[in-house]
Amino acid sequence: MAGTVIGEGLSIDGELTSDEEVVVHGTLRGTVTAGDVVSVGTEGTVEADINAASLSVAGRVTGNVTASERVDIQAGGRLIGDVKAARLTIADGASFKGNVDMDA
Amino acid sequence: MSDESIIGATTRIRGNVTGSGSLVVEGTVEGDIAMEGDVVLGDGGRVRGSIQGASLRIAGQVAGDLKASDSISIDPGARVVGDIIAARIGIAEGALVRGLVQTEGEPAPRAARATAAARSVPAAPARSAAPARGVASGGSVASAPAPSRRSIPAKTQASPAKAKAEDKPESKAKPAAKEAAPKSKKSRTPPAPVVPAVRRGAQAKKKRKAR
Repeated sequence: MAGTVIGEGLSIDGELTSDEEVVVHGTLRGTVTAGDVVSVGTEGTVEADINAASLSVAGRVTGNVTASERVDIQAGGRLIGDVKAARLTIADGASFKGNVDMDA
Repeated sequence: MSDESIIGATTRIRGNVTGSGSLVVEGTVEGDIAMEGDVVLGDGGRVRGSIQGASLRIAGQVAGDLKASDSISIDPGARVVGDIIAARIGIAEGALVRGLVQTEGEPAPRAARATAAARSVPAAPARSAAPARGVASGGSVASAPAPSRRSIPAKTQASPAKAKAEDKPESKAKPAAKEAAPKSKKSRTPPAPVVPAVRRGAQAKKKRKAR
């Protein structure tokens, strides 16, 4: 079971830090700092700068992303913001707007 | 399923949490929580802010007010510093509560509360000892769960009494203090007449004698 789950009806305004997996099906505004995977579900909306080990986007993310491992934007996922990560995959059908820095 | 949210043990949120589903908090929230569903605060959970929901179950630490449209239950080992307001409130033995406890919504418990309040007035001095006693018995709860479980319903019955006991001494103490204050003033009003240690002219007489 995932460490932290932001359910569909939930919305958080503020700062979230975690050492475990964070799954977002709801709404999150502010900043996210996670030591593990952050995944944004198809119904998830994140308007925050994200700092994580890795990020998987199936929903909508607006904000700058820094990942120590990887960023995956899945089909149907939407990411607006700059990405700084060693690896980045953008699936067919995903939308992305921003700068990419894979120099880490 | 996805309407259920979990804030994990290592997760810390600084900000407000609102939503329609239910929420389990095992981590830390510095901010207010307002849910339409149920909120469970696990024994490792900490909240610095108010919690609102349909029903709350608290096993962790809260510094803030609790309000529920249905019920609030405080588990053994929980720590609540703040007001507790709900139609039904249960405080288990071994829980620490500091604040106003108020049941509102149903007339039946209100009547029970009134009689309980009348009964609880002489027991008021026990209130300050209550948290210490609760903590002390917290240890025994773990070793003997069966009696503690039996005592929980009794405690929930008693909790309104405790609630009243908590705000009663305040409301009682105030008029009492008011009464006491004028009384003590009255006893002080005729101040002790200033009697000179030596009578007027006594020293002059002495001098005259000495001469």
